[in-house]
Amino acid sequence: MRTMPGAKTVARYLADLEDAARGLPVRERRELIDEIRGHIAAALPPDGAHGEAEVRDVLDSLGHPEEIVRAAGAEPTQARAGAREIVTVLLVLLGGLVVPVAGWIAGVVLLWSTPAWTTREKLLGTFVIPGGLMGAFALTILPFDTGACSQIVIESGPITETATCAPSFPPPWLAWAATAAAVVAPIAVALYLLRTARAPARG
Amino acid sequence: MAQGDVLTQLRRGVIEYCVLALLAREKRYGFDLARGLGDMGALTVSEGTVYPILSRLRRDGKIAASWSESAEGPPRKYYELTDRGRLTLESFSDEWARFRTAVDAVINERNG
Repeated sequence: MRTMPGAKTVARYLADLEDAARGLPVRERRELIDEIRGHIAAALPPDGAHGEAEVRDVLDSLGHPEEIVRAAGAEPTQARAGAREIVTVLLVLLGGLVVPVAGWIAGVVLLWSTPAWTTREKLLGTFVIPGGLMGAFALTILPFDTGACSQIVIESGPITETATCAPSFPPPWLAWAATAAAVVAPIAVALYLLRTARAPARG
Repeated sequence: MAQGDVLTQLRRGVIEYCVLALLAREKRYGFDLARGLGDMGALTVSEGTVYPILSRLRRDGKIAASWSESAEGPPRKYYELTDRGRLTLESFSDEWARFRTAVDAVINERNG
């Protein structure tokens, strides 16, 4: 498919609109973006015989995304994590390691008291994994005996047999895999939260 | 208050009723309404702001939306007044007439 002139400009405008409209309920936001997209399509000749300049004219007439979001009764947001959001994520992830339990709880309190994430994102941040990295270590490394097994030495006369003991359950490889997954999960969630944070826009 | 601010505030107060008025005679496409409002002199607003207003009016039951098939391209959405919207528009017209007269009288007072 031939790339329409101005397609990138339109895509960027719609992305800006989506970013600014995160304060709107999901359904309203999608409806708004669909309507704006339809408007742009209706404003440009259907056969693609338009230039970049025309596209910019149409977008200028539409107006700044923040203005449109304000008309919808919401405060425009930016798709970025501000200082407060970063501190929150760090506390949730690492707080338990610095000040066990209390550090993590502080992070969770901050997490739930900000509008920067949706409820679903907050639930994800709280329960994957409870306690953050502290919780991950507590849940996986401690219960599993992945250390060396004691060896049983049988001496009978001139013959010395050493029998290695059976590995404890679960098998070491499974325990390590579970630990790895439990450590990676909260880190992945933390990165995800940083990416989807929407700090209130200034001005 | 700066000049631009006064107009912005006034506009915000009446813009919904103006959209209703634009639909008083016939149903219209969202795109037409956006362009129409963009063209109205002192009422000029950025065209994109019409869409949230249309959403709100629809949620309030003052306008209804339908889709119509289009020969070239995707189906287009058009809007029409509901009975409730018509009532709202009528009562606004009355209020506006009274308001306009009162403000004019006070403003003209100062010219003696």
